[in-house]
Amino acid sequence: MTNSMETKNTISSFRLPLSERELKAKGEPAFAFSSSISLVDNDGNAQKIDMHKTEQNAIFAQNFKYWNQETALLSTNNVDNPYFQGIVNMGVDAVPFILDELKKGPTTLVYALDKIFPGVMKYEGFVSLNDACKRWIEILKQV
Amino acid sequence: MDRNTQTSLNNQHNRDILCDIFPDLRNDANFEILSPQTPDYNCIAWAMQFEDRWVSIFDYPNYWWPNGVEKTMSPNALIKAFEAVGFTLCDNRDLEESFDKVVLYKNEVKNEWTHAARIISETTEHSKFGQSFDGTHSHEVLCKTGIGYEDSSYGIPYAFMKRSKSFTIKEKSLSGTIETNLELLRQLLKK
Repeated sequence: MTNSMETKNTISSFRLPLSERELKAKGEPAFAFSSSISLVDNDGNAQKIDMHKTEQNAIFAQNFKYWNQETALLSTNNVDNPYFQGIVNMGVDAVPFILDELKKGPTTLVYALDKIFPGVMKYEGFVSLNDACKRWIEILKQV
Repeated sequence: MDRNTQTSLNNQHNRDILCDIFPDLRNDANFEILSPQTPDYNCIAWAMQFEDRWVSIFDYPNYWWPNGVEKTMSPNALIKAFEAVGFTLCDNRDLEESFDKVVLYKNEVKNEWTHAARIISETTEHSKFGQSFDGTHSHEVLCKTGIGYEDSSYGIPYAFMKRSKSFTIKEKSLSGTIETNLELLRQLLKK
């Protein structure tokens, strides 16, 4: 884990503009995305775009952003949260994105993998966040 | 950490992250960010002078709670947790020679503990902000939160505690194990 100022799992990129926060505070949807995009070249050839991956990327990014925003400064429980559950609900689709985050540094996002793959890791006693993340990175390399 | 790095951490961008959530920090002359963000320890650990664990009641591998102390969010449970590591209740935040002092916070609506900070002077506390930075600030500037951050509120101070600087915590070093089931992972991935 690095101690640089730009620690990768920072909340700095998750500051919401005031208007988006106000909307969210009122319980109104603060984000939306479209999954209907097609690409046709000048010769009229249609190109297939992996919309599923694009969609999953957007879903993960938004859940990750709001999870960070809501829990980053909490000292009680920085895991259990509806947006964290949103990442868990993505199931296997979330794994590449979670793995990318783990590789940047220790993060409690690792526990989403324990919920997506129950029983794969058995922890006894105290295990540091760093060790939990390293073990998941190792095991995911093997599959 | 050298002074240049420390000064760089206390830049406007990083300060704005915390000021958005705790707007009273913006005009607080005692507000200074001192260390990088880390999820390794929280404010409770910091106040207890641990940097190797997250001190909370929930059941996650890197979370720790003193043995024998009720695992609840009640303000009294946090007092008991601090007592388990050598602190005792005291009347105020006034510094006493040979003692370290802390202040505990609670959400008064939910009546649940939320935060703890080291008291470092008559006017200043030193807090670890969740997974984020740690830094100094004036008393009670964390009670108000910005729009959309109400759930991040630390609430109000409700107890002061002190511990002798010579106190040594007697505990076995933290240890644990991880067993992995690669075959199960492969099966789950096939589904």
